[in-house]
Amino acid sequence: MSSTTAVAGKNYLTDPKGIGSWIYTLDHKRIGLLYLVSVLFFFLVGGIFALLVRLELWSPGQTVMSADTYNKAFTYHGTMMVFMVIIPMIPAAIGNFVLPLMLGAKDVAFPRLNLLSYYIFMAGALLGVGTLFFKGVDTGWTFYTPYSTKTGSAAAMMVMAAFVMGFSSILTGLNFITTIHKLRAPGQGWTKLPLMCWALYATSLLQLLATPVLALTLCLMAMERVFNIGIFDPALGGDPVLFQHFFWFYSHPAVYIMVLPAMGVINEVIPVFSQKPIFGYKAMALAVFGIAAVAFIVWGHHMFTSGQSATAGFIFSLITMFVAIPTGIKMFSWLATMYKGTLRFQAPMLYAYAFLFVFLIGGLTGVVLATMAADIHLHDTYFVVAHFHYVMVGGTLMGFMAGIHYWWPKMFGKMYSEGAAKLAWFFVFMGFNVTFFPQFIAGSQGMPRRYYDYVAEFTIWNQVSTVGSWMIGVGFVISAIYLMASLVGGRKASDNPWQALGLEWQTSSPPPTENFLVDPVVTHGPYDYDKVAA
Amino acid sequence: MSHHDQHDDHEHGEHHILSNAMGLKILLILIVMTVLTVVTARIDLGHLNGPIAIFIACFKAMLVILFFMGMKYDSNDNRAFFASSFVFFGVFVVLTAADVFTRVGDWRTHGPELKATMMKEIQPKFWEDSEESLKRGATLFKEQCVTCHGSEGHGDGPASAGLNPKPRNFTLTADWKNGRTVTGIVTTLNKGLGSMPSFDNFPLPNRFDLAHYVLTLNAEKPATPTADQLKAVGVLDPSKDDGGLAAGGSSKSIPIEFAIDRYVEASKK
Amino acid sequence: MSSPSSVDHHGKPGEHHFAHHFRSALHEFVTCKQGMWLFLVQEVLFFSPLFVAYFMFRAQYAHDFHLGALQLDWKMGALNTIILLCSSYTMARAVTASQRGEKSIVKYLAITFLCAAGFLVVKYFEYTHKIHDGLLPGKFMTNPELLAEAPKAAIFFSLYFCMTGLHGIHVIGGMGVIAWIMWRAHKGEFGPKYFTPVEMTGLYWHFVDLVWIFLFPMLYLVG
Repeated sequence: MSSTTAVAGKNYLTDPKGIGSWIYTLDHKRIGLLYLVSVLFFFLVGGIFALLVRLELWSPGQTVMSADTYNKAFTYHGTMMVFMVIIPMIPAAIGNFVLPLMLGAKDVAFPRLNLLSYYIFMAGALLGVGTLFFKGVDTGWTFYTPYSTKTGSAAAMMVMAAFVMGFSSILTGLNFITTIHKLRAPGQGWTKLPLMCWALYATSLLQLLATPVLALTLCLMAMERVFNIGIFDPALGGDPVLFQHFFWFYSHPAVYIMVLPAMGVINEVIPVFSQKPIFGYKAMALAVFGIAAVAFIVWGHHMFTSGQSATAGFIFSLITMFVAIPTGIKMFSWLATMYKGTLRFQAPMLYAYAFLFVFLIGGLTGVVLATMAADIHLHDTYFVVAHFHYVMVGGTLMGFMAGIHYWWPKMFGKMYSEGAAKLAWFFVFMGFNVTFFPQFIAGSQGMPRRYYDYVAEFTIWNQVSTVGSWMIGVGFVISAIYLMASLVGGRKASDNPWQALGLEWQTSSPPPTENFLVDPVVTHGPYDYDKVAA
Repeated sequence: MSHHDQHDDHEHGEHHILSNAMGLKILLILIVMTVLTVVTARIDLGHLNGPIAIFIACFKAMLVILFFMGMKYDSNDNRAFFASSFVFFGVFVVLTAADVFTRVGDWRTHGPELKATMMKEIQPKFWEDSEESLKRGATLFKEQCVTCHGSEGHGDGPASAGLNPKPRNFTLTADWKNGRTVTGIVTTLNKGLGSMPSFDNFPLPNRFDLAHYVLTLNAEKPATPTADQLKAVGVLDPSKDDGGLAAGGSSKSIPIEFAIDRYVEASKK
Repeated sequence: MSSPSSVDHHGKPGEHHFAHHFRSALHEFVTCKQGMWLFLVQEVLFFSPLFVAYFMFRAQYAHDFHLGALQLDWKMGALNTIILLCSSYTMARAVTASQRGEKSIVKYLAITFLCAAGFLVVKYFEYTHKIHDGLLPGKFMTNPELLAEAPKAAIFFSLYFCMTGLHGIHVIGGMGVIAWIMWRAHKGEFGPKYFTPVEMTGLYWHFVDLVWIFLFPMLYLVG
């Protein structure tokens, strides 16, 4: 494949110049970078809250903060990580950058809407962070009634922040779906679409369909708080469990908004670093929609102990089991892709290996929790905390790291230090397991979540977990250092350093503003490693 | 017509023009349907009124969607998208209803009556052993306890695998933390013990039923509780038939509303 | 604000300048239409929790909902329904006029705008009447008859105000957009070569009508 590097030095980063050209940019690549910087900043803040939470849990009783402060610490950790980091992380930061490139398009369908989405996100995020200056929020990220409607903390302001950020998510989803439908290059048929695009499509459907329900639910909660309208208040005839139904109708699909793009990244990385076509392309594309479809009909599995009827619990428990089928198809297809491939061990692939290991554990423990009888005992224990960190951090974050390391040379035209990347990977991967595996043990023995105190017998697990959190921190500090160092002094990257077949590798690194100097025409699929030499 | 300027061969039909005559026809049908809606609502058709009104509304909606919004002439993907929103709305309604309409003894509407019913069914002097108490205790044990304590009470239920220490083996008599007595077991049920949660959401008489049943799992019979021991576990007045429960609270745990109010107060400081 | 990546593409002289990342003006149009339909998809889901709450509470408190609904004036509700249906018709007329390059586009947009305003005026009278009668949501319910006979009617009124209020906000938003489009139409921006914003506004407006088609029987004609 010939590259299309043309005018020396002119690419989307350097041209046009000036801060105004970044603030008012309509270039999807620049918008992706804006999101990336913001998301990483909120990741840092949310991560610091996590370290504080784990520090408090070093020993039973008060360690470094009061109970009220602890409630706020875990609320901010959860709220920031969910709404400001993990939901936008891959779709908005990476997806914005790569989607049009993968489709051979010049931009997303609605570039101005894209920029608006970014500013809406920032407005909501700043509003959310702003609550720190107004007594903070202590309800947990789930804002359950009746506590959330009565607490003296800044809950209304925080849910309005989430409301605003929700619209960013909705509009991004809308933009991506239309882009995928209408802006594909000639020859880019549905069966030649990279699986990352399929994953982003399914994610976008979830964003579009589920987020509005959360938006209105949070409005109703705020109305209840301010005007006591009574929909969730039993004293006035309302139903607090209804809030949970409304909340989880979004929040369960939300976790798939978090993980499907990560699976999309893995779909891209594994074939390249195995130099083999993806196994079962059609099944993989269908599986992603299968997961998205099941995602919508299982939300009650978060509510087994809430007062939901046993009948509903039974139905939700049963349906939840089905999500294992398309997920399993994906796991086995990835393994089959690697089988007899030429495996490489560079950073993107290391994170993909990590993903497979960690997501497997997370997914299997999800099946345990989906079993209603078991969940009665495990609900609100650290078992749940460990489960969702395994799938969200292990899933989404590993996927994000894989994606960042894979597309970094494309985004910036620079290569990072592979040795430093491997070192950071070690700390992140080992640190992650050291942090969260003990939590399965503590949780199954009954340690409740969101408590700032615990009985003495759980001390050892908490201390191991806290040490793990420090290891993760070290891993990310190292990552930040070598990635930023690559921007200043890194080796220049070629157009296609990984010998990959996707359309994005057929343009320069970094790409020109208009993506392709010559309109691309697709002649082979993105995984045809057995047919085409890259 | 000059609209051919925006015309590409393979995208023909993407922008059908609604004729004024057709638009007027649709409006008139919609108005007639509105009148019909009102008329049928004023006739008492019992349970059918609601569905009929919604059905007519759906018909009106279809007219607006197909003609005013041009769905009839639009592409399949737009149709699929819009239809999907209603599919997921349907899912939302149905599965929420699956919970709301299958709740048994809903505390919001039946709370006070439910409590009164349960109090009526409870035997006088419920802290004393009896056939009915054992029967209720056996049923409650099967529902609530066997997951951990096993069906024969050996402490080997399915959930016990992950627990350390293991759940109490009721067929053995040594080393019970709260003592192998009626009030000892009720104490455990009141407060919980280790990984065992508290069951103080159960009416106190039912806790005694469970205690009576558990004690039958080993032939050895413990002593009858004294009045002081009974008072300590929540039988406010053993001299009364109902234990003094109707008059006062039945457990030593704080009512949830009270707890919430305390939390809220603390958060406002 | 300038950015080379959104420089409009100049086609043949006199044609609509469509954005550079589209192949043609028609490509831009069908893409915008899909975007608008997707926006309406999320609007359906945005209203859905209120409808779900309505179904759940109506089934449980049928008697109280019936008594609550009797307090509403169905004639005003029916009038508002007719107003909105007519406004959908005039909106469709405006879209057709823009597609054919006819001058009546501004007239029909204006009538649509006035219908919307009329709808809000009727709602204003309804709301003030409710407030006067103490028929208010949740803990603010002070109407003595309802408090005595149908205490859960407070939930009915919570849903009434939330649903019609949310709908009303969408009407106001729609009026703003219609006014803007009217201004652009007055300047002669629309014609057979370019009518996208008019048609998109039409889609949105018909959706607003759709919601009311359901709200009317659900709130005013219960039982």
